[in-house]
Amino acid sequence: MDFLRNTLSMIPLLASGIPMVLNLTVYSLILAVVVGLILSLVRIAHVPFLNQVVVVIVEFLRGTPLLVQLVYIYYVFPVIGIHIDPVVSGILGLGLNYAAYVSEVFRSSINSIDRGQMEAALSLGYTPPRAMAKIIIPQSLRVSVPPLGNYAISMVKDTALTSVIAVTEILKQANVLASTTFQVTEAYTAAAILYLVISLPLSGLVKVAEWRVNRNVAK
Amino acid sequence: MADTPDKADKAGRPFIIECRDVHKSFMIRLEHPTFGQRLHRERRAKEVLKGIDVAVREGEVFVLLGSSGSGKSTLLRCINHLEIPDSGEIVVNGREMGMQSINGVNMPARTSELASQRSEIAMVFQHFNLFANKNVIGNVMMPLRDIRGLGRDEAREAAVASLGRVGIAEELFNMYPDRLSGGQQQRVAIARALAMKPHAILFDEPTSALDPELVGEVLQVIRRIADEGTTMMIVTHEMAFARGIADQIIVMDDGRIVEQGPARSVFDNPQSDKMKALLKEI
Repeated sequence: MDFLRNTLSMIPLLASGIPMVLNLTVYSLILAVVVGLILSLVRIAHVPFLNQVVVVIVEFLRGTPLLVQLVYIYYVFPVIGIHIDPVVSGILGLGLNYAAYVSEVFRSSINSIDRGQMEAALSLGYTPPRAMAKIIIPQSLRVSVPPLGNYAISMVKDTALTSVIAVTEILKQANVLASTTFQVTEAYTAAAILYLVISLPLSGLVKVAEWRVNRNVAK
Repeated sequence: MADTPDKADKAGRPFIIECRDVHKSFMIRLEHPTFGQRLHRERRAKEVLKGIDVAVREGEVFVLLGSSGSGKSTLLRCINHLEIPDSGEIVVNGREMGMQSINGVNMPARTSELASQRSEIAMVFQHFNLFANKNVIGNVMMPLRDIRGLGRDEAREAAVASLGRVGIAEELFNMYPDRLSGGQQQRVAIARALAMKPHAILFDEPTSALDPELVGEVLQVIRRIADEGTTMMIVTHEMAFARGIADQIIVMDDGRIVEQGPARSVFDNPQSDKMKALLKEI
């Protein structure tokens, strides 16, 4: 019973890290979606040279661990004179890493739209960029929402990695609590519960979003 | 099938679509194992259009016949520059497609200019290609607003009128394309094309993807708008329909026009082996 009581009593202390987790998640996701969309469009438009650059960037971001990227931004960039605040480093690291994955989601979902949609738009007098914006991308969103939702949920959990670059989020707080109270089990159990408290409702939200984008479609 | 009285009068009218010596090749990849099991890769150009000349006057209906692969669809797609021809010129209502005069110099058209040229000729596709993210009325209204710059009310009015012409009932206006039958989808696509008030409409096998019982309703709509004086070019395999609707028949074979003439003479007195073969098939 003591264990349960101690764990529960720690939750309010750790809960102060929730806003930070949400901040990191929201800003990183926005960054990931914006950069991801740009990267995917460069690849789809086959912009010469830039196209290859994007492939290299995406493979680099996907091929190295997120933790290494975060550490790199926070500890290595200062060596070359770039000092970035821990939270901003976290957002940059998470956002750019996820952008690589998100760009592949967008790329495949845009490619999955039937070519006839673009041809019909062109034949009516749309320019290719305008057809993309008004016809192709809106349709591709329907395909990209489920994977994007999954990335949003794993983003919540990956914010824990920023504890190693001195961002005071839930896990960092739990570290502090564990080392000051020596109640290691209780501290980390409380942290785990808090992550669940955020990610479970988010899964629900993702389901709602999927339903909303699909409601106009039969099948 | 009686000729409409105005058919003879079309002779003096201005040209809407002119193609002069149009050539088009596609690169195709060939892969075949050679002696020693090494895969031999080859890129070879296949010429699909080998010098096409066509001139369509205002209000005329041209029907293109020929086996698949003869270049009929490619010709239509070249006319509105969905495919860019390798050489030759295509003139629509006096404007050369894909070209633009900049400071008096004839240059390849900018994307916006090309788009505006394309909006002057509508196209109806084999697979309808209605916008899946828009309902029926939205499919017709959106290009009117985006391309023709109409306001919401004007666009709606024009869309309703156009859907009326193809016999789409009001209950269907708010449905999404995948809820409609193929025939209904194709009629909406025709309404979308008509609403743009194009100089001409290109039909690329408009009934080939339809169930047999739905072909009739679409052909009937096409016939009606032809009677209303719409200039059109139609690729089709429906021979009876072709004979009934066409002012001119063009028979294509292997990238060339092998026969051209008024529908009656081409059907009753075919000159080319290709047309004779096509007639034998029915």
